Amino acid sequence: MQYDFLIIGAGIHGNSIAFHLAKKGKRVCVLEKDSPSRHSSGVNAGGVRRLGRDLREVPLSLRSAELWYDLKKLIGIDGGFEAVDQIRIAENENELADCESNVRTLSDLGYTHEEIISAAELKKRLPDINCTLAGGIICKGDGFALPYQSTIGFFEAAQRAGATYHSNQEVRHLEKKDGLWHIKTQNHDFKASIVINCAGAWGADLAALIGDSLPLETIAPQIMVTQRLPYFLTPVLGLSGRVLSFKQMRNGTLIIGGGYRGKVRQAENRGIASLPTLAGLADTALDLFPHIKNVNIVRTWCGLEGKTPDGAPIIGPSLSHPDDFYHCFGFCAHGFQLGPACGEVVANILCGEENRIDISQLSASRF
Amino acid sequence: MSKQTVVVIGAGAAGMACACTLAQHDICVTLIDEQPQAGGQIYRNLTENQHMPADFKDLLGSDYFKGADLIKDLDHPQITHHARCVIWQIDEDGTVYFSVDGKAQSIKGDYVVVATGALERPTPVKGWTLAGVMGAGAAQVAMKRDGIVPSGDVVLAGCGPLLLLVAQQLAKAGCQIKALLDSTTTKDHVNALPSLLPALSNMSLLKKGMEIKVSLKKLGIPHITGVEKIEMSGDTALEQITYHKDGKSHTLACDTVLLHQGVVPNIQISRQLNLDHQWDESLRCWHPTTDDWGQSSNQNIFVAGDGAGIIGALGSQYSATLSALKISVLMGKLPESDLLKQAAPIRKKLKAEQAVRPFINTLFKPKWLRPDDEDVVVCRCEETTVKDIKRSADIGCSGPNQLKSFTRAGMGPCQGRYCGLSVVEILAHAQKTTPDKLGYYRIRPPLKPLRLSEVASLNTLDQKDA
Repeated sequence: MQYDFLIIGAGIHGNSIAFHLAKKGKRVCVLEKDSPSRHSSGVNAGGVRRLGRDLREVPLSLRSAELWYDLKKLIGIDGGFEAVDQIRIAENENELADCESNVRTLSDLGYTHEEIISAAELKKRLPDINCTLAGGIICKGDGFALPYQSTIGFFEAAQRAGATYHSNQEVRHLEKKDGLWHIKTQNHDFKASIVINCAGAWGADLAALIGDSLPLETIAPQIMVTQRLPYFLTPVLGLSGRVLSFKQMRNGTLIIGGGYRGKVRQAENRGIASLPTLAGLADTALDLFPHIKNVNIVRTWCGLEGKTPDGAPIIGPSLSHPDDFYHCFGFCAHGFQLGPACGEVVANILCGEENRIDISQLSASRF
Repeated sequence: MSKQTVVVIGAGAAGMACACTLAQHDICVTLIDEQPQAGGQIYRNLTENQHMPADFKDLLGSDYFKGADLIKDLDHPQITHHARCVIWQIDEDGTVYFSVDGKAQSIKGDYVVVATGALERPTPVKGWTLAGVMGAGAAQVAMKRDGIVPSGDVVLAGCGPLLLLVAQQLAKAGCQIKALLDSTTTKDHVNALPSLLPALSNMSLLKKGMEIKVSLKKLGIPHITGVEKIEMSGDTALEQITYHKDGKSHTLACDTVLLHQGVVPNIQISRQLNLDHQWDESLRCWHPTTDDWGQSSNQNIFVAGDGAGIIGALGSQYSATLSALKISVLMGKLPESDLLKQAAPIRKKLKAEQAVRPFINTLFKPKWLRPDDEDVVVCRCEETTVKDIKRSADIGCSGPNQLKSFTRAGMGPCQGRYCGLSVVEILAHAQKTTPDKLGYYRIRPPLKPLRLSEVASLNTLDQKDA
C-alpha cells in the first residue's frame, strides 16, 4: 500500500491532521510508537486557552477556539469541552502594567479576545480568593476539555474518515527512493509521498533521521489532582507573576499544574512525578485559596513533551526536504488547544488549498 | 558526611527482624511505620494486648504473643522508631518522604528495606460494597486493636488459612457464626496432595491448621466446602447471602459477611519505585523480583517478608534477617567471609517455611477473581463496573494504564490498591491473555493521600523550577 501521507505520532496533532486529510479523501497512514494519545496529548492539564499565547500562535489559536466550540459537529464528540473564562491575575501594579501592555499589543493587531479586568470585578467573580488583586486579564469563553477523550475523538474520527493506524510502530529509518518515502519501523515497511512529523518530544530525533537538525529539549510537566470538593471555582486561573494553572473539574477535583517539572526518563519512555518538587506550586495554590489547606492530593502525574528554545512550536516544511516532509511538533506544553485548527491548517496547506491562517512564523527555518 | 543509615519501612514481623539484626551489627536504623505500635498486622497491638484478660489472650493464641521478643528487641540505641507515619513517596536514591501528625519530612537511607507485608486480596463479588460486608482480615484487625467483634449473625466466605483462623477466633469470642462458606473444593485437596510430602518438613504449621479445623467442628460452626459462587443483597445494607453449591442455591439471612481469598504482596511502594516485578501464577498476584537476599532490581532497595512473596510471619522474619545480613556486609559491618556462615541456619529455617507454601497455595487456590455479574463495582473509588472494563476490552484497551484513561478505574484515593488485581484479571480474561502480559498500574506519588499544606511545607527555593 502506498499512502499519500504518512503521519508519525498519534497525539492530538497527528490525529487531527490525519482526520482533516482523510476527510479530503487522501490515503493516510498514522504510525504510533506506543498507543494513540499515550503521551502529552492524553495526559496534559486539558487547558483550552487563547490567553497569553505567543503572538506567532494567535491566529491558529483563535481558529482552534472556533473549532473547539463545534467539536461535536466536527468529530462526533465534544471531548468534555467546557467553555469557561480564563483569568490571569496580576498581584501588584507592575504585573498589571505588564498585563495592560500585552492586551494593548494584541488590540493594536486587531485581536480582542483578551480584556483587562479590574480588581473589583475579580473579587466579585472570585469571592474565595485571598491573594492581593491588582487586576488582570480575562479571556471570556476559553475553557478546558478532557485530553485523552479529545485526542481519542480525533483518532476515531480519522479512522472513520478512512485513515489507517498502526500502533507500536517505531520509525527507525526513512529513505527517499524514486520520489517516494520508504519508512522502516522495527518490523514493517511503509511507503508514502509525504511524511508529517508529529512526534512530540521525539520530533527532533525523527527530524535528525532525514538530516534536519532542530533544537528540542524534552520536559516533563507535572500535575497534581485533589480529592473531589464542593464546586467553588468556575474560571481557570493563572497568575501573571508566578507559575500556576488552577481549575476545578466538573467532578469536583482540582487540577493544579504549571511550570514545575518532573524528571525526564526518555529512554524508559516515561517521566517521574515527584511531590517534593511540587512544594512551591502547592504553596502558591494555598496563597490563593487558604481554605483548601487540608484538601488531599490523591494523584500526581507527568508526561513527556518537546520544548523549543523560543517557546513556540515548529510547524512547517522540512529544511532538507521542503517538498515532501513536514514538521509539526515541539508545542512546549501548550499544544493541546491548537490541535483542532493545526490539523485543518496543515491539511489545507499540504493539499494546496486555501488557507487564511498565518503560521509562517512557526516554520523550522527560524532555527 | 551524614551517618550511614538504613531506612526500614514497616514494623511488622519482617521490618522488626530486619531492624534488630541491623542494629546488632552496629548499623543505624530508622524504622518507619503507620501504626501507633510496632507489630504489623500479625502482631498488631501486642504490647497492649499482653495486659488483657486471659480469655482474650487465649483467643488470640500463643503464636501471636511470640512477637513480644521482637518488639522488645526494638528498644535498641541504634534504632529510631517513627510510629504513626504516612509514607507518600520514595525516590530511587533511597529518600523516603513521610508525614507524622500532618508534618511532612524526609530521610535518605543508604539502603531502604521495604517490609510492607501483605494485603487482603480484593474479592469483587456481587454485593461486596454493601454495608455489613468487609474483609476477614479487617475483622481481625478490629479484634486485635480494639477488642471489637461483629454483632448479629456472621457468615465468613472464601478460603485461606486466615479465614479459618478468624472463624475460630470470632467463635471463641462469642460471635454467632452462621456459616463458613468455603470455596475450597475436593479437587483442590487432590491437587494439593503431591505437595504434602515436602510440606511435612514443617509439621508445626500443618498441625496448627489441623487443630483449627478440629476446633471449628467442636465450636459447632457449619463449615460448607465447595461453594462455587456467592452473592450478597440487601436494601440499604446487607440482609442476606446466597451461595451456590452442586447446582443448588441456598440463602442465609445475616448481618455481617467477612470475605477472604488469601493475602497478596503489598506492591504499592515497589511499583512506585518502578522495581522489576514478576507474576505468580499459582497465587495470582505480582511480587517484586528479588535475589536470595531480598535485593531488588534497584540495588539500594531491598524487599523483605510477605511484600516480596507470601511466606508467612516466621518466613518473613527469616527473609528479612537475611536482607539485614547482606546489608551489613555491603556497609562494611560484617566481613563477607562470615555472611554465608551466619546466613546458613536462617536460610535453613526459611526453607522449611517455603516448603509448606506450595501445599497451602494449591489447597487454598484463590477463587471468585472475576464476577460474572456485569454490574459489580470493581474500582470502589471511581465506581467502575465489570461492564465498563469489558467494554474497554472490547474496543482494544491495551492494559490497566490505558483503562485508567478509558474508565478512571484506579485513579481514586486508594491508588488502585483495591482494584488493581481484579481489573487485570477481568481485562486478561476478556482479551484471552494473561495478567503478566498486561502489566499493572503505574503507581505514582502520593502513595496515600496527602494534604496540600503538607506538600507546601516542603517548599524551599532550590526546588523551584519556575
